[in-house]
Parts: sequence; C-alpha cells; structure tokens
Amino acid sequence: MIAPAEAVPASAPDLSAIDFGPVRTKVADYWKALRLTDEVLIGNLVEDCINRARLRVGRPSSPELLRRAIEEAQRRFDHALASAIGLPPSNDPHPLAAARAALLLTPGLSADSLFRHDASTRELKEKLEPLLPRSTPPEAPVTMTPVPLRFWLFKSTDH
Amino acid sequence: MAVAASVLTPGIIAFRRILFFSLVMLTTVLAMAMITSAFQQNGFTPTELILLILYTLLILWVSTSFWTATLGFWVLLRGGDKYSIGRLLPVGAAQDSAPMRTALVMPIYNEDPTRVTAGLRAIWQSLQETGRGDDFDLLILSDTRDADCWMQEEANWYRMCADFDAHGRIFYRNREKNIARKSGNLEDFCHRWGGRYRYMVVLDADSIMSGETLVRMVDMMQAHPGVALIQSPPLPANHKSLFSRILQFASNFYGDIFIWGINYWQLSSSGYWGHNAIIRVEPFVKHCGLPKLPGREPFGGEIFSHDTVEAALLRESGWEVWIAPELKGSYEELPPTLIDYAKRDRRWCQGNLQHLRMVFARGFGGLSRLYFLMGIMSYVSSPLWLLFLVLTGFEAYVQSQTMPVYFFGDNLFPVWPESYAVEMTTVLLVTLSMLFLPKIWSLILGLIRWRKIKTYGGLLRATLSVFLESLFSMLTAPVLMIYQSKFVFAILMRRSVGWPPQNRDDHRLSLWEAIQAHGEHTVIGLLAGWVSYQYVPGFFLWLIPVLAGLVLSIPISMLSSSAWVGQTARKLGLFLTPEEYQQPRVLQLLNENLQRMERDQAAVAESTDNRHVADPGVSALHLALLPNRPVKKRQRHQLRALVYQLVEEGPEKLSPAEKRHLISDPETLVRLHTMAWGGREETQL
Repeated sequence: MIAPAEAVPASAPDLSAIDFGPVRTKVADYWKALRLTDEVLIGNLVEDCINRARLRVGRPSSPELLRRAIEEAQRRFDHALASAIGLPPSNDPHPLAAARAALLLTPGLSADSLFRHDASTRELKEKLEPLLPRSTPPEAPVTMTPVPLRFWLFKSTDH
Repeated sequence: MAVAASVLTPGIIAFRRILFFSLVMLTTVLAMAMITSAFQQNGFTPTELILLILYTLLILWVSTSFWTATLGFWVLLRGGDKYSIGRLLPVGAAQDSAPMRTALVMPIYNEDPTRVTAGLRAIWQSLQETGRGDDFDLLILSDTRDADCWMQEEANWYRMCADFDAHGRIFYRNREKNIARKSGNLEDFCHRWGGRYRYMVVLDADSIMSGETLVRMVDMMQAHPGVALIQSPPLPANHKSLFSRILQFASNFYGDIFIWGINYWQLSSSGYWGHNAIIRVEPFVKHCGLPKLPGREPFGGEIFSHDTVEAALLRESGWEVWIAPELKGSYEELPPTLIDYAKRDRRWCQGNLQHLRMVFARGFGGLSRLYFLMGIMSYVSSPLWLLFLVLTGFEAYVQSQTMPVYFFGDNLFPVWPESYAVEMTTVLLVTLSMLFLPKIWSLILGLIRWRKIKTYGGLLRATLSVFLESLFSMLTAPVLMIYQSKFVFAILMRRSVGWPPQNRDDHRLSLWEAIQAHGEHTVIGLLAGWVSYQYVPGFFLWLIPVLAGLVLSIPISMLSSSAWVGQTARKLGLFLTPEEYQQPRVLQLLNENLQRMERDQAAVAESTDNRHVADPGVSALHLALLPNRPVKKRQRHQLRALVYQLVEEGPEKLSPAEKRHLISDPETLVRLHTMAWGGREETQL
C-alpha cells in the first residue's frame, strides 16, 4: 500500500497560492481513466503524485503542478504494470504501451491489482497475455513485381 | 502453379459469343439502315453523315446492353444457366502451395470508422454463425491519413478483437505511405502476407457479405482450381434517401437479367468490379503487379481503375474469371444524393478513360480490349448523346429554313419534298424500346415468379415503382449527361481529380447546395428550351423530356436527397426491395451494430474525455502500433515547432498531414497526452 507523503520538502517552491482542489480532482480522474476503482487507493496515489510533483515544479503554477502530477501518475502506473507482467526495463515504449492498451481497452479489467502485489497481480498478468494487441499476422512474404505493359501508339511501361 | 483445365468446351463459349455479337451487330446494322434510308432520300449532308456515325456508336452501345439483358431474361425464363460457376461440376481439388486459409481484406481510406466497423462486425458475426469462421482471417488495410479517424479505427479494431475474442484473427495495419492507392494497398498485403493465404476476399468500406456467401465462394474456388477470381454481384442495400432507394430498387429489380446476361456471353472470361470478389492469391501475385503508366495523370501515373486491368491480366495468363449470378448475400452502398453520385462518377470516369491506353496494349485478347472500350463508352456515350442532340437540333433548324422546290425544269407536276418523319420516328421508337424493354422483361419475370414479386410490394406496387423509376431516370439522365460530358472534357484537358473518399452518409441537400450544383443545368435547360422553341418549334416538343430534367434539376435533386421522402415511399410500399421486405441476417447484424455503436459514441461524446489523444487506452494502443522509427534531430525540432503551433493557434490551424505527423511520433504522442490531461485542452487534435 502506498502511504501518502505528508511532509513537503524544504527545497520545494512556495505553492501556497495554488488551489489544490482542482489538481487533486483532475489527477484522481486520470487514475480512474487508468482503470483504478478503489477510492482509497486512488486518494493515496493522488496525494503521492502531487507531493512528488511539488518537488519537480519549476514555477509555482497550477497547470505546471498538474502536468507534473500526471507525469508522475503515468510513471507509477507504467512501473507497476511493467513489474506485474515482468517486463524488463527498456527504451522501447511499445511492449509496455501494448500491455497498457490491453488493460485499458478490455472490458471488465481493473488496474487496482497492479498496486496490491498479491495473487491478483499474477492473475492480471495471465489475463493480459492473450489480450496483447497483435495488429498483424506473422509475415509470409511473396514477390509481386509489376508486370511490364507494352502498347501500340503509346509509350510502354519500364521493364 | 499451372492453370487447371476448364469444364467449358470451346464450342459452348464460341456459340454463345457468336450469338451475342451477331444479335448486337444485326440490331446495329438494321438501325443504321433505317437512319441511312431516311437521310439518303435527299442526299447526305455533312451534318447527317456525322449524325449517322454518332448514332451507330450509340446504338451499338445501347444494343449491347439490350441484348445482354434479353439473353439474361431468356436464361431466367428457362430457370437459370447450367454453365454458371455455381452449377458447374467440380473439376478437382486445388493444387495451391498456400495453406487453405482465406483473408478477408478491407482496404480503407478516411472512411467513417463507425460504419466500417459495424459492417466488419456483421460480416465476422455472420461468418462465425456458419461454423467455418476458423478458416478466415480479417485484415483491415488502412490507408487513412486523417489523425482522428486513424486512432478511432485502431480503437474499434481492438474492441472488435476483444468482443469476439479474436486476437490474432482480426488484424489492422495503417500504411505509412499510401503509394498507389487501393491497388498499392492490396499489393502491400500480398507482399507481406500473401504466402499465408490461398484466397483473399476483397471488400470495400461499404461492403457487406454474409458468412454463407463467403463460405460458398471459397467452396467454388476449391472446386475449380482453374478459376482465379469469382465476382459476386453486390446489391445496393440499407438506404434511406429517395435517390438511393430508387437506384437500389432498379439494381435489385432489373439487375438479375443483366447479371445472368453477362454470364451468358462472358462465361469464364468475365470481369472484376474491385470488391465483393474472391481471388486466388498465387496467380494474382504472379500476374497482377501493376506498373505505373508513363506520363502524368489523368492518363499516366498509377492505374486508377485497377480491377479491370487485373482481371484482364488474369484472363490473358490463362486463368478463368467468373461472375456468379446465383450468389446472394453480397451488398454494397450507393451515394445518397444525385450530387454524390456525380462526384463518384467523376472518379470512375477518370479511371475508365485512363484505360484508353489499355485498348492498345500488346498481347491482350479482343475480349479484354472490348471490356476496356465498354468502360470508356459508359462515360463517353454522354458527350456523344449531347452532340447528337445538338446536331439533331441544328439539322432540324436547317431543314426548317430550307425553302421547298416543287417544280423542276419543264416538269408540270410538283415534286413534293420527301419527309423522313416516319423513318426517324421508327428509329426513335426502336432506340427507346431497347432502353425500356429490359424493365418490361423484369416485370414479366415478376409475373412468373409470384413469390418474388411479393417482396417488391406486390405486382401493382412493383409496376408503379417501375413506372416512377423510369420517370425518375428519364429526368435525371440529362443532368448526368451534362455532368459526364463535363467530366470527360475536363479529363481530356488533363485535369485530374485525385481519388477522394466517397460520401456515403444520408444528408439532405440544402437549396444553396442544389443551386450550386445544378444552377448551370437549369440555365442550360431554359436556354436550350427558348432557342428550340423560338427557332425549331417542332424539335422543341421532342426535346421536352430532356429540357424538363434540366429545368427541374434543383427540386429533383433536393427532393430525392431526402431520407424522409425515401422512408415515406417505403411505407407506401414503393421501390421496395426483398432486403427491405425481409432483412437478411447480415444486414440485421449491421443495423444492430450501427445502432449500438452510435449509442456508445453519443454516451462518450457526453463525457469529457471523448478525445482520442487524451484517452489513455486509445493513446496507448496507438503508441503500441506505431512503427519503431528513429527520429532525426531536424524532425524532432519540426515536431516541437508543431506542438508549439498547436498550443498557440489550436488544432484547426494544423493541416491533416501535420496532425498525422504529430501522432506518428511516440514521444510527441505521449507529450500531447500529458498536455491534454495537464489542463491544455487546446492541444486536442
């Protein structure tokens, strides 16, 4: 379980002017869009993302904080997903994106178990494997060369 | 792979073709003789000579169509044709090296993703109901350039896989560059996956085919290893506007006799209409790689109407190409308005005129050249009719201005000028009969097949529908004649039109749209009416049907575009088709899918996150499907500049190509997604 970060580091910029309410709502909406349903879990993750985002904002503005918090949510989600399906760290974003798509677009799946680290995480992994997008079949190439056409009165095609 | 032997003997083929061409030529010669005897009475003038040549060309065209329909009528009167591909005895098992799998391929280009998916779902569901679904894969071959449409297609594809548990059976790919349009798209499929499949069924974006029909087509191919292609005759279905319902009725009611007639004389050397056809992949790959024609568009460049050329290449390589008149359960959609119909005609006209060069291709047989000529003639006949009308009017004017001379030399008895009204009226009646008799043939068949006519609303309503359809086609024919004449002229002036996607949605024309499209037709009609009435009143009366179509083009076009009028006609039982009387299962599935998808879309539109880039699932799927391409430093800067432009000026300032560029880069896509959730709604594409 993720504990909400209580303290704000001393190095963070002064964010007292920011209204945190809309930021929290938006970040919570984002977590819901990532198929999280457990309200307590969402609340904790929201707080955690905002607290981490506070450390990274360059200028004290609400959009900047929100953007950083969303980035943090993405990072956390991807990390949890990669761990759940046993994906090794890589610069290639495609395999992780494929798993994310499968989780988010398949009806009836919830991402809550990604953060539970119990048997349900393994179940999710098993469920996701056959659902990974396979956009094209294995290639079986054949050669299809243009047929030369020759014409009377008109210029012919190249051989 | 060697071509297998045919079950048809050369004697049957020769007899049927000799009969058909003899009938066509005999009719043409008789009509020519009649008009020649009329002109000859006072000696030929240059105008009359031109009229004779024009009439010969036109009557040749009309009688080809007439005899095709009449032979089809004869075949149906006798209960069908034993020499149709569906009735021929199997000649042995196929010897293809490819595995016995069939790919259903649908090339699409910026089409409505909802309609495309609803149709594909219906086909897939219907196929599964046959119990033979495992023999098929479905491949959506997208050439879509529109960014939003692209992401929607991907999302729809994945949901389809998820809903039918068809991961690894239904596929989607979007080409990075849409080289050579549809033919290039199919060629790319063959290049990459051709070795996996023995057959492919080519579908258009609006194609609907029942599972039973698909299975039957595969069985036919299996039974006839010498056949490379079987074309199913697609029937228009599922229409609402009056215009498309009238066309739908005409295709349904008269289509049968034409299709059976085509089969009668073309037999194993038939054509390919570009979709709703099954193709043996191996010969297609071997013989149908299309070259780029020398010169620039519209006559050079990529081959637009590739289907006719591909069929010719298969035939010339010794393969059989059939049309299967007995195949039902194959459907397509029509343009919903007269204007959309004309727009589609513009593209087809360009494609067919490009075939002029093919007529002179070395090594092609006479039949292939004839098919190319027939395609050309289907558009060139319009300017020829127009010229014929103008010259007839001119000739009538000259005749009316000629002072008759009754006494020659010392002759005491007057020599009355000979009128050729009787001959000309006969010629006109013969021509009109050939145009209208196929409709009568269909009505006679309806009388005989009582159960069938019930599905057209009964004999009374079917007869009334035929009458109204004839009236409608008489009124719209002059408008199409002007349109097609303009298209032919523009193409001859080397103005290309490209290959824009077709409008398939029902939409009522506004007065302004109708005026813009038909204003010139109305003016031409009024002007021609005034000139003929003023100078040749006798000719004016003959010209009234043509003038009426032109003068009334605005209200006719508007009225016929109305879905309400179309549906009212349906309630009255007019222009009813068997598919409307009792909807086939596959069309039921299509409509159910459409209704559900439209309902889902409406629900999504009400929520805030109806944008694809913002949707984490759709965005992730798009990222997963993007190819792994390294981005150069310069391109990275360009992409950043585009993002800034998007933020500052909004998505409407970006071109479709720029939007596509943005979502084609994984890094930029993630950035846009984050920005969309980070309070920058203006970054939505």
